[in-house]
Amino acid sequence: MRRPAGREPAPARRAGANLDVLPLLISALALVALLLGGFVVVAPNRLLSGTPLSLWQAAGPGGAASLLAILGVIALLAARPALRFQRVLIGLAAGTLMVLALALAGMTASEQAAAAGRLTRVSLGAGFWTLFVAGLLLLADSAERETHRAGKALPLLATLLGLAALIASGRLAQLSLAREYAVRQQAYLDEMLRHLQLTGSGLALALVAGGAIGLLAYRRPRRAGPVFAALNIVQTIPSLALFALLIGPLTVLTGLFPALRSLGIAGIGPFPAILALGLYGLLPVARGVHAGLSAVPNTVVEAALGMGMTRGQIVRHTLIPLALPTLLQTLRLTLVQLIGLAVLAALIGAGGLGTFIFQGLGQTAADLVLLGALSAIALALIADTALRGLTLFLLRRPQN
Amino acid sequence: MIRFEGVCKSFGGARAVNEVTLDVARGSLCALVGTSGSGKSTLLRLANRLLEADEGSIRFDGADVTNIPPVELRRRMGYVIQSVGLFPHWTVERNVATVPRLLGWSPARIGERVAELLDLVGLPPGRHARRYPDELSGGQQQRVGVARALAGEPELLLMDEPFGAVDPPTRRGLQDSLMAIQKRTGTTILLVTHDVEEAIRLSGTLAVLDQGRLLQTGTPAQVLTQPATDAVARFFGGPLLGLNRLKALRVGDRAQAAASPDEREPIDMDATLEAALARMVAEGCSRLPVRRLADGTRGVLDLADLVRP
Amino acid sequence: MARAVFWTLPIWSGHETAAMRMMSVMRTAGRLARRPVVWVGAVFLALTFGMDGLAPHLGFLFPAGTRLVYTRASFPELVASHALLTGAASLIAIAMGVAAALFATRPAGRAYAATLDRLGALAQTFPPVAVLALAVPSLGYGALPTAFALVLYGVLPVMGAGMAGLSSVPAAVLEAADGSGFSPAGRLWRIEMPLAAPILLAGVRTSVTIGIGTATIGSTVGALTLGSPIIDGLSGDNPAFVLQGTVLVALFAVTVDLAIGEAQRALPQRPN
Repeated sequence: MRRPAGREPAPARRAGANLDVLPLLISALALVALLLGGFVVVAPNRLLSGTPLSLWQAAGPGGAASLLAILGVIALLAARPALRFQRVLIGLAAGTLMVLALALAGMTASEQAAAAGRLTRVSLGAGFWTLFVAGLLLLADSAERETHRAGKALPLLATLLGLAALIASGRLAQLSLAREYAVRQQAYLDEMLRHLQLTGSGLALALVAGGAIGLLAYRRPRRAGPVFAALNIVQTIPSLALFALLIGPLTVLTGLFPALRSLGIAGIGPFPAILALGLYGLLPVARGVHAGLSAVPNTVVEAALGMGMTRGQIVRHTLIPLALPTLLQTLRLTLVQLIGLAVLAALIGAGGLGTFIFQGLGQTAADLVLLGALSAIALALIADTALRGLTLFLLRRPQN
Repeated sequence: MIRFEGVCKSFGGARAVNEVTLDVARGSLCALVGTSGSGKSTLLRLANRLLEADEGSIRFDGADVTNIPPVELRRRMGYVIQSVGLFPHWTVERNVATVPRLLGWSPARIGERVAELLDLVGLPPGRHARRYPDELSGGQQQRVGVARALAGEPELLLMDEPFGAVDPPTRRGLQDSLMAIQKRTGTTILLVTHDVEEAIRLSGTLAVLDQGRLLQTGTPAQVLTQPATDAVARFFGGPLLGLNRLKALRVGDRAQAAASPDEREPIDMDATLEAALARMVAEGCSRLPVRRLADGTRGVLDLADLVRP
Repeated sequence: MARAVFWTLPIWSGHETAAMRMMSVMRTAGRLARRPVVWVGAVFLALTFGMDGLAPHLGFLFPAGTRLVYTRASFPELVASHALLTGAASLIAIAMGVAAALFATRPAGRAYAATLDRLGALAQTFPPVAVLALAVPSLGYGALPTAFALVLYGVLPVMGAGMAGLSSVPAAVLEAADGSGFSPAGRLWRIEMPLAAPILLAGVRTSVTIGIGTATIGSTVGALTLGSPIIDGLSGDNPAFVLQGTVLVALFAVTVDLAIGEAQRALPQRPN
């Protein structure tokens, strides 16, 4: 992220502060959480609350020692800023930490299921989650600060690969989360697909309409103010209200013109959900397009004109490439926002990953909530990372 | 090469260019000078149809510019502006190659042309071709801007205060390069500047504008020795006009045949009178030996020659 | 202004002083009435207190047999609960966000500015509903997980805007302030904060808007807010409740947004 210029550079850090504080802080936090919080929670069945097991009790001395050892390695690496590949190594260690923690939790679940029967549920505890999120933060931090492109991607890919291999091996099958998934595998895939469809359609709507509005605001600067003020009001309306707001008018509309129903237009279901998502994406897209185009220096456009470029060539060779960073950022932020908002679509009968969250909340089945929520988070993170990667790729400068 | 005839241009009722008639000969460098708001930039932008004239005609190489499609017209003219306007997302090489690519030259020919031009403007391609504009100094950027404008082998180069944004020593370097380039390529140049010294130094013809009207045209020597109006005199220094005149005149204009030999290092014929005066002040003398006159005799320049009208 | 004159003159022409006084009152009122926040807010308040009386007459809009009056709580109660939840969480979020921004722009904390930026960006990718739902297992149902999510989401825009605002103060201004003998605290309070205020307030506006929206979703985990009639209406197939909740919460959000907008306009403008 670019910081505004005009500040003197941060003064060289004093000796002693010369080590990387953030990884140290995060690993210390993870350590405290591991020692205080339960690593896993064992419950007699799906709906009853359970008792926490500490890392020591759950994973045994060997497991506990290996996790603590990795935390120690991260702390050691963080204290050696001069080390080559320091960031990559921290990232790899963080990934190992995440994969190993999950593997240990899965093994505990299998043991408990074997000992106490099929009804027993083993959920991931606060200690585990703190450790896992700490790993995620370390991974993100190392990827962000590493300057080499391959070095940025390597720990991330290795971790994803490790997690995928772990899931594929079936060692996690007895975790409560996995069992919630297992009993509704087909429904999960359907809702995931539905979630992607809703997000994709809403995004497409926002890109087309918002892009047109942004372009208009750029071409006619005097209209930009009122247009953005109006869009801002839409953005101000709480998301839940926006979803629900469309139910009434659409119900009335389809009541008056039943033919619309055959087109898939209805007060409840995917149509109003997509419309609401599109409306929500309107302002960020329009503002991004406007800002991106406005940021192209006038002098560059004038030089292009003076050089004898046609209108199309100016758009293709100067406006779009120079607005590209802002446009890509807009795409990323809008997509991530819509993935999150699409969770609400389940409330108006449009399905998506929110289905599991709201079902779980209704049944007080925490792991079902978790299944939906984690999937939505994972989807948002993957979209964010993928688009960041794409941005880096598209904006790279070939060095000679 | 380019001829303005009775050209007018108004913005919202105000005449920015008022009945200007000006002929720029092929291969010459004509400087449009005047205070800001005098209409000189507007006149320049009428030439490549970034603006369209309200009245009058502009003929480029004999043809009325309104009969040439703007895009084609602009590709036949180079264009350099003060803020350079290099494309920040392209390398130096790609920037220079802009017009040749638009003209559809072969890659081999483009490569050759780019290398040749970068050499011409004093940026060895080996070191600079692959760099991006933000990795260059202001002076280097402007050199790339000039190279880019020359790339399509334009018949006419339009320059709008090209060196206004760089510091004085760099500006002099760029001016020297421009003179060398013009000597080599013979390109006709129409240059807008408000820098009196730059105009005198570079131009073969000065065209002085004030409030949209063309007040006077002529060589720097003519304009400075016989300013047509008070406004022209004011622009070229008012009470200090005489000092600027020394910049426009050459030693050869005033030197006389030498009566007696002088052992000191002689001054060149095409040095400015200003340089001669500077040497007299520095050496505490009032006459200088001159290398050779047109008739082959040795010459001499006296302080009295310098100040005579 | 012209409208006020048009209205008052024919009526009050006989009583000069009263007419003048009335005109100035009308003028002020006219100026106020031209601000959208006043009439949007008025409609919001009228509906808040009038909804229970209005609701029984809305039967014609909905299928026959629809229950029209929301009984779980009165609308003033819902508004108060929603406002309290959002207000408290926003205050905490603003305090935390400003503190973080201050820390990240002081010499001691500047090294962490990029990290805070990054954490903020990462946290923003988490869907609010997902975070709300994840908070339930550890915090239970009700206002608590909602407040947690509210604070979490409220901090980010304030922190971002605070950092942007404080680092937008030109280095030359800071140098001049130091040169004029300001203490670090004095410089912060008299120079940096006023200059950063417009950007900071924009962040607060975003933060509060997000807060009102997230609080609405909070009713899915049992918090009592204006989202409650929407959720109850959606799950009980009652479009009347959905409409009532939706209209009120939308008006609420727009009113608050406009009110903060007025505060932004009231700040002294600085050229650039």
